[in-house]
Amino acid sequence: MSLLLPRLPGPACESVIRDFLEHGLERWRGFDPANLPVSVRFAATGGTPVGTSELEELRADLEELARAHGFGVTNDRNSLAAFDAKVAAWLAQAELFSTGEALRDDVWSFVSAVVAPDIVHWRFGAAIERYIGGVRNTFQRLWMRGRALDRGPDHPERWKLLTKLTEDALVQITERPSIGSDPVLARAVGEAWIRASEIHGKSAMESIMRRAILGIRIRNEVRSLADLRPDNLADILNQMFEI
Amino acid sequence: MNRRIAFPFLTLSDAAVEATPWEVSIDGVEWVEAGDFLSNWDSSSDIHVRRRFKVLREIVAADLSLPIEDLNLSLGVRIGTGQGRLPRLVVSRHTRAVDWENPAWQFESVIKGGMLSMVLDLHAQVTLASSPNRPGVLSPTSVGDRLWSDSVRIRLEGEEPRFPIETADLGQILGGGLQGDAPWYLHWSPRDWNRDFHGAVRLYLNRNAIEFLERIENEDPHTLQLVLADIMSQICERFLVDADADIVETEPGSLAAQAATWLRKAWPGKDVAFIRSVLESRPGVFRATFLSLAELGEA
Repeated sequence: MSLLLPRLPGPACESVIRDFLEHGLERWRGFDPANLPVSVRFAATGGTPVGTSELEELRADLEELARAHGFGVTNDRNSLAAFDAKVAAWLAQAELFSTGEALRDDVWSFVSAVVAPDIVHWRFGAAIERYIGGVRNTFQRLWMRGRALDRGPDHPERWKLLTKLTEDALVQITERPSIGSDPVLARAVGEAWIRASEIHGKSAMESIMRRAILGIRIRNEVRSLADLRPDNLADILNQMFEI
Repeated sequence: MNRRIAFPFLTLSDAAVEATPWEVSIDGVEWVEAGDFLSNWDSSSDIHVRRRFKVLREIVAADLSLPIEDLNLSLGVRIGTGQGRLPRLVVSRHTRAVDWENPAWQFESVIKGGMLSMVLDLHAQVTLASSPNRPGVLSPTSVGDRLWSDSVRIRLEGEEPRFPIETADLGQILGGGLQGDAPWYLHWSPRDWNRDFHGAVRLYLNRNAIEFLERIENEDPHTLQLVLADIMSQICERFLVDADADIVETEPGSLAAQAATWLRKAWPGKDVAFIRSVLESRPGVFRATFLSLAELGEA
């Protein structure tokens, strides 16, 4: 039986966040899984609503990961990037987010606005799109990256794409539904980015990536790239990345 | 087949692929023809899907201008899920080489209910499996070239119609204030124009506006026209405010693509600069254009 996750509708999420930001971090009373906002709801059927102990555990795990990367102490760019990579890998493997529930925006609104708004604030400040479900949501975007760029449990460097790719590259892949929704294509694009960055240098990659993504999207309309043999796909992507 | 795209090679006519309608079943119990919505599903129920394909060799050869002995094709099915015009996640893909001795394929698959969310997306396609030796001038030549395809999107959860609409107490969800008395409220944000349109907008109807709700339920054309015009206007107006608004190069299915589609319908053949000038200098004309466009059947 699946675990059903709490859902916080968009307008209610905005209201919760407005309240959180107006009163300030200091006045936030912390996450209490036994006292969820009234607007939180669950799917009516199809599984068992997640219990307070699982939600407590989720909060504890996220806080532990954040503290290991400077939460409450520092927010330098390297620490934040390392936090992103670590949490992306963690979320992609978390049992709680292994079902279709994790494809819903309102689930991630709940995680960001109710479970861990303090961590979101440390990571992104008051930018509201980082709390509301969607491709910019602090945790949803990391879950999407982890799921799209996982090289598989048998790979010796399973999560290397998450640490090697720049923020710009990760955004270009996961915020394009035609690429980010398909792990085969997303991973191949990530691998091609790494090959290209070793030749062109990371500093040149932003413009190359933009041209490549445009070319991939156009090419994919007339040719089913994800269905090609891996070596064939890599050849095409090499051309796109000017290798 | 996506007819919006001008393919740089010949593609298959619908006559070249005989495909039965998709059939779906909850837990394999009762099969029904796939429609827009599959009722009685929840995540504890697996969905079974099936369809029969047959590729007709002679028609393929004629359509693609290829010798009959030079035809190597693949049939494929991609299964996806997640709200939006494009699936948020490709759950599985299945491919099979077309065997000309037995060119029919009875496809059947089971999708775990726990993997699904809100929508089931079934995409079928025929692609080129190997480069032909003697292609015609316009024949497809690259492995993977898309020759035929079709897609169905089946909603799995009743609360998610094609355009997400929900009845709510606006006073409660908007946190009080005059806006809580509005008959409707479009919840959306212009922060990310690449976001999938259906995931980015939701129309809330005020539970307390009884008469207005009755008009919506009765599909009163003038009421629907006003609501639709408001949706189009506010999204397009904000889109045009963005300096880099582009009505040509947009991500398919995105908020930007939807805005661009409406703007092109409202002002066929005009560029962004022209439309922006209408908004800036004649806002009344701008709104009136959308009111007119919103007449049922136009937008």
